[in-house]
Amino acid sequence: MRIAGMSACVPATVEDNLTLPIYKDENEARKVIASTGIERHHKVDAGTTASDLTVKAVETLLANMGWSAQDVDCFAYVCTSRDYIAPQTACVLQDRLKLRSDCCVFDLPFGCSGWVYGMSIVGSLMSHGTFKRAILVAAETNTQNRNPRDTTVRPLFGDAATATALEFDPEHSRPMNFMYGVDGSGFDAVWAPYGGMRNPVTPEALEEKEVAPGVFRRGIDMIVNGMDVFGFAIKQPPHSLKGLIETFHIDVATVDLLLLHQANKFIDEKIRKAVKIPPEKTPYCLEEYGNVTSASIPLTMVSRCREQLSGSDEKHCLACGFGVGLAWASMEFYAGDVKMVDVIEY
Amino acid sequence: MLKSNSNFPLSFTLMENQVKEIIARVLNVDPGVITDTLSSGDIPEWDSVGNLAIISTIEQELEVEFPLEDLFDLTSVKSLVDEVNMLKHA
Repeated sequence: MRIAGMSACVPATVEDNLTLPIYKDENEARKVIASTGIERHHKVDAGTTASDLTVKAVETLLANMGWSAQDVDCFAYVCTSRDYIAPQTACVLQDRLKLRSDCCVFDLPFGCSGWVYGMSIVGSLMSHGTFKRAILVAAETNTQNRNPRDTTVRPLFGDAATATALEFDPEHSRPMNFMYGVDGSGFDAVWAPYGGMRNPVTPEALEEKEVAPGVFRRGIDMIVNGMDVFGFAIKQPPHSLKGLIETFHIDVATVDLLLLHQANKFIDEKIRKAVKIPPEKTPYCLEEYGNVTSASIPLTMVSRCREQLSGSDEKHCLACGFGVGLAWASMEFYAGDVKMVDVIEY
Repeated sequence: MLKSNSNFPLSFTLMENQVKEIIARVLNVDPGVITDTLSSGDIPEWDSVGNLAIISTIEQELEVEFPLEDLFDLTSVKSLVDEVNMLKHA
């Protein structure tokens, strides 16, 4: 299997962290920008869903590649901000995108590690030879399930949808290697306590409370426990990448791109240094888009690696996604001659 | 005016004051708040974002590189001062 094409769609509306109305003053905003590297993010208007961004990303990708929706044999939708509790959003998208009725479609409700897990799952399915062409979507509208008056999350998260076209092409494909990890004891490090079957929505879950100065939340809002996530992020991703490098005997000197989940530049830089990859091989897009969870690695590729990945010489890539779960995954892959579509706006 | 400390050389006291000054400035609080025993969570300003801001500013201004494996423990005035001291004298 090879990556044949990639696209991304972000909302046109931009929120600049420096002018967010949640801070006492600009100094407070500057502190957040300095410690995260995130200057702004794109935000959907109320009523726009991740699947709306997805339709635009996928239709644009198909048109640019000369593929018809009828050519797609498998469609995987990595997303936690789904349209409905049931059915799967992938079913809704089958109709909206006019995919075939015998297309294999499914949701993958992963967070930040989702694109890497998706590549592994779809890659495994395609390696059977049953599917010739697949689309892997990683999409999220993080601004819609986090409280806009929560200073611990609003400046960090953004919205985006990405589409990765995958093709079964044994002659031009190189092996992909993966390492996986999970620590379910940290499930409440990044979570929404209410709204599922364990804690259904109640009137109390909809009440907004000030849980700390400047931090307002409802029970249904996504919460990020910063110190827990920090402890996890400085431990597991470097461990995972080092395990990948050791297990598959990867010569890091041959790596062209280190693609990290875009959560925090300071932490990502520590991870980069731990695996000894030079800065010029580690692209970032978080300053412009913030943390777009599962979409962050493919959005980095689309927005920052367009020329490198569309060239005829293959690039040797390492990627690592980590977050919600707590779950993480690393992968090694090669990509070249990829049809890269410019980031489009919704 | 920096005070000398009978138990440590002046350079340690200077560095300790520099660390405390950075913490106060980054958190935008009165320097008198930054006591020897202060830790993350003791004041609302020293949350996870504040902690990252402190660590990254100390690295930049005092020209040290905190090892990845030590980062999680750098959540108090004492641990930050001790770590900078250790790195400066390594």
